[in-house]
Amino acid sequence: MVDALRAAHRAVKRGGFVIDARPDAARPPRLVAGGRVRGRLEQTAETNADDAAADRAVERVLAEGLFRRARAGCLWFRTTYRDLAELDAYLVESARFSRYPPATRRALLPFRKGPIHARRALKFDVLERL
Amino acid sequence: MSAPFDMPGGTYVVVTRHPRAGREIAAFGGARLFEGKEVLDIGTGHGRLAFDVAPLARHVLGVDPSDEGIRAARERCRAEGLTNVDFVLGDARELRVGRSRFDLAIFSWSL
Repeated sequence: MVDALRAAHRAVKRGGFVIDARPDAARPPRLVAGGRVRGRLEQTAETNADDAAADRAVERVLAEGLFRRARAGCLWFRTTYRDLAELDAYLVESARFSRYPPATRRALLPFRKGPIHARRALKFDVLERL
Repeated sequence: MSAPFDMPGGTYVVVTRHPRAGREIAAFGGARLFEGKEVLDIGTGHGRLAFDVAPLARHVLGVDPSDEGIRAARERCRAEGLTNVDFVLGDARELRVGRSRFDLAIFSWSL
């Protein structure tokens, strides 16, 4: 990841920008049904480790003086699943999310015919190339 | 969801679990950040963000290690008649795209 940021540093002009945008592991997706939050999705352990490594990589290239942080933020967005079966099918395929806890499943069951929304957070850093 | 585009295996649309088109651009700093710029989209996948940025940028180059993603992105490019977007196979750690060439590089869900 540090190698990729260094490669981007070489490719971008001085004064240009590198943007890193990723789902925010510190803000797991909230599952909303019937107008209320019913639980959260959990990331896989591998994804959590990758996200932490990416965070460390960004801090490292900042410390190396390759970039300065020009802006940072978080974008919330919503994805919709037709019903609980579609959400479950998505989780089977997803490399990022593993499951939701049993208590969340119990809370979602009355709303299994959907729709079920996931409120997700995307965090981003806009890094100025020094 | 993208506009339908044709590939040898049939007609495809790209369905993603990402923010709606334009929302990321607005969050990153708005159209001004991309207007007239030379943009590198690292880990472009099927080119989702590259196609969002293309109407603003002078040129967008999408790079991804997935042959399937790059082929789909190129097909969509042809189908939509875009001339300021290109896609190449490549690894983010060993970019062969020239030095100090781009105004902006994006890792969207790819670092």
